[in-house]
Amino acid sequence: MQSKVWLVIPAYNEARVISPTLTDAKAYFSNIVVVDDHSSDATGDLALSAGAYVCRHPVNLGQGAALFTGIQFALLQGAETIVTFDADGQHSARDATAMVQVLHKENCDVVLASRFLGKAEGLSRRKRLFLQLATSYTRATTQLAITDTHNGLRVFSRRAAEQIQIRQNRMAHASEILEQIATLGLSYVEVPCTITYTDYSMAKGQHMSGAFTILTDLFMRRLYK
Amino acid sequence: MMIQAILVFTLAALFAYALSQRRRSTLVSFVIMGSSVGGGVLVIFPDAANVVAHELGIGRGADLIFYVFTLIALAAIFNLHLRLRAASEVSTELARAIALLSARAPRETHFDAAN
Repeated sequence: MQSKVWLVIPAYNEARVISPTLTDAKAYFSNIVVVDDHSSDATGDLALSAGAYVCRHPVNLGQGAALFTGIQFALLQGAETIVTFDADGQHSARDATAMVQVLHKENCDVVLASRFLGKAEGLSRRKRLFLQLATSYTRATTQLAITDTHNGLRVFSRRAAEQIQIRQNRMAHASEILEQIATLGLSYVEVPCTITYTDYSMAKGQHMSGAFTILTDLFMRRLYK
Repeated sequence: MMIQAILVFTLAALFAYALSQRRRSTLVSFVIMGSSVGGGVLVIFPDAANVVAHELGIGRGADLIFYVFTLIALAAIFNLHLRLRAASEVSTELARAIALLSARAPRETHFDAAN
């Protein structure tokens, strides 16, 4: 079963952290693809040395595009289960493994991780409020009973991965995926996870100003769907 | 008079270009052709703008032209935005295909990216 499980990691200029992230992940997953979104540092080479497959975008496209490229790569390799995972080390590979087990046990299409059901270590009060507002927006627009949004840790069955089409190249992909889970009627389970924030991940992660960009992207998408 | 000649010539050239491009985008071509003809009439008969403005309840002909120009400019920007998004989706697909075809495997693995 393990040979059919693929871990997909989108990465952009993550040379500082990609090696330890992959070392941890390798302890649980044998198949890992890192999508190097045209980094200007050695992210791709380091990922390759750490034992991951590497797809490199010839231009920088954004995290959503990188995620979709990685999912397509995993499907081409015959993946039956696909895990999406952040490069900055804030996710736990142990959580990801547990989520894969939940997917198989519950026989559902998608398993979503929630930092608010689990632990968010080092999360500032301001960011917590921002994420909770985003979750309320997603709950209202998708009717999904979720407690966390914009969490990059997810597990998809092959059936789900084949149906979900990520067209939001930038950060709005997280909302887009949830919208598609709702509109495609995919079955999902939400489970607790632990997210460990570091100064590095906080600096690299989404900022409050990004919320405006995400809302604009989602609005424009609705105009010409 | 000189400026009128320049404007009429430019609008005529715009009309001819839109006419030649009508198979690519019928709606945009007809909007440009209509705007060129309307603009040409107003250049040749400047008082006509005032007459039409009064009919529509707008004070001055210059205001009417400004409002119409604003609407056309906004429509053009929106049209350009849609075209840019479409072009962006095509380039994303191309970039993705290149990334998938040039995928690299860890050193111990035998791998053919083309498959």
